[in-house]
Amino acid sequence: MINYKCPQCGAYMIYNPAKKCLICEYCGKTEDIKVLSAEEQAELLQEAEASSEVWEETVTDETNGEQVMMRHYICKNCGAEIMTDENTAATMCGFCGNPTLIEDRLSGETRPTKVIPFSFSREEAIEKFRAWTKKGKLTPSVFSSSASLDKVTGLYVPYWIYDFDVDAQMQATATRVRHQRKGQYEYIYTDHFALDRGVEVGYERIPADASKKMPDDVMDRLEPFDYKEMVAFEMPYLSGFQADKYDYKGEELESRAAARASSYAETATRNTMNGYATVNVVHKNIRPKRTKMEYTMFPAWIVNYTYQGKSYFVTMNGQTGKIVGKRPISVARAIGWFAGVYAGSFAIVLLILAAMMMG
Amino acid sequence: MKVGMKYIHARPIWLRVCMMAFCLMLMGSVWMTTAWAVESLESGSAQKVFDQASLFTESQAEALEERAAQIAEEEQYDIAIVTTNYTGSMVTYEYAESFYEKNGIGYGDNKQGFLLLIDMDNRQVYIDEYNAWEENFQLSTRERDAILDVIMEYAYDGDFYGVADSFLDELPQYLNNGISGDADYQYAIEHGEPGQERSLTFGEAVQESLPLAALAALVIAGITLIILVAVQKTGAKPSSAEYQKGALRIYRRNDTFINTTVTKHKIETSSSSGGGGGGGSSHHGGGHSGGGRSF
Ligand SMILES: [Zn+2]
Ligand SMILES: [Zn+2]
Repeated sequence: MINYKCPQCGAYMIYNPAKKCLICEYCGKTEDIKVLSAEEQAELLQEAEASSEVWEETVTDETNGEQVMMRHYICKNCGAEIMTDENTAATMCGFCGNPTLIEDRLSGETRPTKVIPFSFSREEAIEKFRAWTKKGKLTPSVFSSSASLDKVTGLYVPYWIYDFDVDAQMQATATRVRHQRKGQYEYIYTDHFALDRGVEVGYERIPADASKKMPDDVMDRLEPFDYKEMVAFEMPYLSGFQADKYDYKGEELESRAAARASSYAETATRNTMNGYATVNVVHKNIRPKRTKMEYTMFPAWIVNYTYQGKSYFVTMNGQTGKIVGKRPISVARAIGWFAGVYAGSFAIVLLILAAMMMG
Repeated sequence: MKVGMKYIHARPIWLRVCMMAFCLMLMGSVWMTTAWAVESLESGSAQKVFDQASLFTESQAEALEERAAQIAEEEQYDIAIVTTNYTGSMVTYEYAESFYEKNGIGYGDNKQGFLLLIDMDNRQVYIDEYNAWEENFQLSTRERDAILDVIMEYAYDGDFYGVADSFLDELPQYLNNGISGDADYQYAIEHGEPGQERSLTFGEAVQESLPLAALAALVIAGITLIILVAVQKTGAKPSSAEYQKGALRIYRRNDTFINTTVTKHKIETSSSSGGGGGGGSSHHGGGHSGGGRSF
């Protein structure tokens, strides 16, 4: 168990997205994120292990009957018990908020090579969420004011990112059509062609989220992330946030990323068959070859809220602020808009038509 | 955390609906334009009657010449009456159009005019109009049919002077603004339906527009709602361009010509020959438009 303590006052330090460094919440002291050598890392891990009070227990998940290994720590700050599930890599003490990193889930083969740090704070995330609840013409007017925020969680989501070189072979038949008039007859000439393409195209850093509990579709829609801000992984980036280690190994998710690369390459190859009236692909052979695979963590804000007694959540890209979610629809507003647009366009169209008829 | 929400990729659906509705509206407006826009023309040249097939007597030809010249002068559009025994490789309407252009027919800068062709080679009577949409005169398909209805009666009897003479009677009625109401009125009596070119009162126009306006408003309001519903969901999928590394390397690109297949079909134009009174049709090309019938 690792905590970052303020060298000045001994309070805990968390990662600050605006300053891009660790900051003491109590006295405001900042500390740059150090890139540790292998020896320093090993030393840190050893120290963390030696100083941790930890025990494990196996419990049965009531929802699906699976056996889950829970690990308990004692908070070094307040002495309360910190419970973690088998994937928790970073969390906070439920009592004092002390940021806690689980070192053995961030080292060895579970150590990410890269990370995209959060680029805005929890307060800004809430502001962005509030702005989102105000948009949308069909959003109920009370939604923004009455949606109560239950929980705003900053979560580092485990992702594998892959590079692929794709070789695409595609054969197709194609036609071009010419018309010619001779006397009373129109002649339609159809020229038939056989098309053959061999294309090589590379894709880099196609992401696939490696967390079981995050729905793939939502995570795909959180993209794109800006890779320019991706940095070498160091544990302090996680201080003050939740983080999960991967549920799936890179090899297990490779096929998902390969399918995306193949589909991109297929479209690109098909697009080289231009200038024809019809193109009919008769044979294709798309072979993606993985050239690189990296384990990374990308930031996401999970905003849980309650509206009219029901709970919802939206997911926000922790780097770009892009929100994946659905605002509620007010039936009254929908009817109002439909009726209003109908009446308005009916009147305008009627006038235009009548004017045209009168010449 | 529990995942209970569904994320639907809505963009292609509403985009498609938008495009469909746009096409509908476009089609609607084109239809309305052709149905209700008042169309027409005007035109003058030295010789009016070109009786190459010698269907008229000398005195008949003189009478036609005189009347045609008078109408052309008064109405400011040229009139040509052409007869022929041989159209060569050309079909009736092609012959009419080419004759019009080669013989300098047409009134004023726009060369507006009408050409009546009695084609003995293909046994067709054909009315050709040139630059007919330039001004406030033009024969609608229905008006041309009405003229053909009258003049073809003479053609079936072999009275070709009658064809030309009645053409000169009928044509000005449909083209002169002042009496076009009369012509429509006559048409209404003969065919039992009111002419559409008769100007409508505002109330009538509104009444006739009601169903189409209702439909258009329904489509517009529907699209608006679909877009608004789609906007409630946020989070679109990223494009492939985000991840492509460098350019596409096409190392093989073969487009091999194999063969050509040919199909032919008959063009539905005025050139169709057949039994007396057989269906007429119209043709548009260049500045010409027209229609004719077989006898
Ligand atoms: Zn401090
Ligand atoms: Zn604590």
